[in-house]
Amino acid sequence: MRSRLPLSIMNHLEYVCVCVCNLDFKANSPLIQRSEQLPTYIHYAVAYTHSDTHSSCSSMALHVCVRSLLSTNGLRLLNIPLGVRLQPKQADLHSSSSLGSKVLLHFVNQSGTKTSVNAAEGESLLDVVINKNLNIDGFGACEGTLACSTCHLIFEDGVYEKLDSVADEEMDMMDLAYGLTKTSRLGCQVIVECWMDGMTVRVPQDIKYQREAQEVKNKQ
Amino acid sequence: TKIHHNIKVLVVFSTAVRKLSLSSGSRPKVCIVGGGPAGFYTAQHLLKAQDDVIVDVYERLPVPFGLVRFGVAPDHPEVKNVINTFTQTAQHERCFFHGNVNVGVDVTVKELKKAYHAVVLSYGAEANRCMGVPGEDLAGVFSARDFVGWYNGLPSNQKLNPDLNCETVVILGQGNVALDVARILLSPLDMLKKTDITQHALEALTASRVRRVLIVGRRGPLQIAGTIKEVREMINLPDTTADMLPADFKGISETLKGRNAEQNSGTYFCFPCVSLPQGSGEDAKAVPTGQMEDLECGMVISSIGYKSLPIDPCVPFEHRGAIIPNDMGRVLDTAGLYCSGWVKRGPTGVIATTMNDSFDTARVLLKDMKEGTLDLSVNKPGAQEITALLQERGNTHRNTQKKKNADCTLFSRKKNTLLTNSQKFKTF
Repeated sequence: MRSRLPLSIMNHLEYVCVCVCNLDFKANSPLIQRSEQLPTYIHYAVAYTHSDTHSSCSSMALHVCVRSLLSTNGLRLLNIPLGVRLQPKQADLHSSSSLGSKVLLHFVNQSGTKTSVNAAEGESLLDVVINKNLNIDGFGACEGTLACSTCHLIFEDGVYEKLDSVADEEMDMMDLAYGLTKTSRLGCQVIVECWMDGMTVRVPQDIKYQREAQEVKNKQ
Repeated sequence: TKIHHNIKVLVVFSTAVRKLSLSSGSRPKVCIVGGGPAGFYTAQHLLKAQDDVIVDVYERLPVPFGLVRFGVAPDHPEVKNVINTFTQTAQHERCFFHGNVNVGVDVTVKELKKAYHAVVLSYGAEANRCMGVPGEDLAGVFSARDFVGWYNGLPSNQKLNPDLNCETVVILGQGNVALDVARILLSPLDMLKKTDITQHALEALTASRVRRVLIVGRRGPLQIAGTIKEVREMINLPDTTADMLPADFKGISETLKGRNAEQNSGTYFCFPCVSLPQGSGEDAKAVPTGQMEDLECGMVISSIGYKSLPIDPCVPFEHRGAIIPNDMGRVLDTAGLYCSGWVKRGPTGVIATTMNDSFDTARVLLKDMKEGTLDLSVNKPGAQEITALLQERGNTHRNTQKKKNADCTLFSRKKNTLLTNSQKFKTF
């Protein structure tokens, strides 16, 4: 099983504690397939690449690692979005009922409508949009697996700088996003944290709405 | 498989007819031709925006989802997650899926226009572009489309039987489809075993002697149609090495320096080029140098693009670009006819591109409804009339309770090893 890990990861290993959010490992959960010793919430030591050029972790590498580790415990990783956060020191036990404090976020959709929601620390912005049923067209088509660019969000300058650096796989997908900006990220890769309280994120404005707005202007 | 193409009895697979509490006579009725991403995204947007519209999706195959099912590589199951959102759309109480209906053959577009307030053509691109070079019809020359259909379980490609008893395969074209084919040909078998690739393809690939795949293009590294993710996958494929010609990279770093940081997000790799590009950027043209090189191989796969075909004489078609001429989704010179997806703008782009495009068409349609361009005051019979027509013509209309059962019984495919938690994702 170990030999399935990519060579680059095998060569440079460092262990950190990763709190794998949004995974409900209760015994009768349909996500778990036959495992006898089930802790209610699980922490995993995950290997990540530590290269000289960048210290950010490749999300794909993480997926591979988490999958491998889960399978040794008789568990399977199913295709649900991972709200993964890298924490070098803390190994917090989160219960699903109190996933950290509430964070106020504002979402502006394709037609300019702003919706404010209270998100839980630790969920990804994709989770927030889905769980709060926000009216954003076609958000999250691949369900957080870095296979599309539909959860593309535009951040404010100050906020963007404080976000974790972009992994290659996310960058690859963002390349294909419509209306990409210098402060764009994919929502499935950004985890809600306390300091984001009050931030506004938006999706690219609709061409259609821009056109119509222009038509109205022209008629006046 | 239970589908017999020759006999007259056609079986229509439809979602169960649900009783609508109000009479459905007065509601706006829209017909969508094509049950792939374009069709479903258009349906999704219409259903969400207008709470009385009824949408009927007609699909030629018995099962929906088009290229998401039959075109996405088996080792990219995440891309197929969109099926969950499409399934929800199909299960919407005002949406009905009708499989095994070949529009243009079993029923005409004119008849659809008569039965519905609006018809949206989203039938994609079912043919391939031809190279127009001698030898294209030789045995051992396949279109990438057919090859992909073969390993993905498309019934019409089941008997393709590509002969993988050769060492070298040449793929013409450098788009994502070409890269997918190369990757499937060279992937380690234990990786392929975990995917939902068809059994017969897996067996053929197990016995395959192919060791070298050449991906050939006309222009340079900056012009390849493939995206970075697929190129990266190819480079990182276990037990394979990527071979590139240094000459192809002359001048690339200078060109890249001049571009914005935003655009330059990765390293570019190339595969053997047929000629040198003249000009730069996306407008670079391929200019023949007169040099010839003979490449010995056992198979050629042509992957230079898909192509749409005209569906019906009453629908205008622009043969040069192989699309339906339209203005923002409204088919030109024809009232009540719209188009979305590849048949509207050409067969390029990823699912997200099609999604945005389909939403655009839906918006235009809704606008026309609102402004009276589409006359909603007339009641239209919708599926009732079409179903009656099909039955007259020898269709046995069968309602299946669950579309998914049909999926499992009709095609023998390896079970998908990844499960998805679709309940978490609600579109409505």
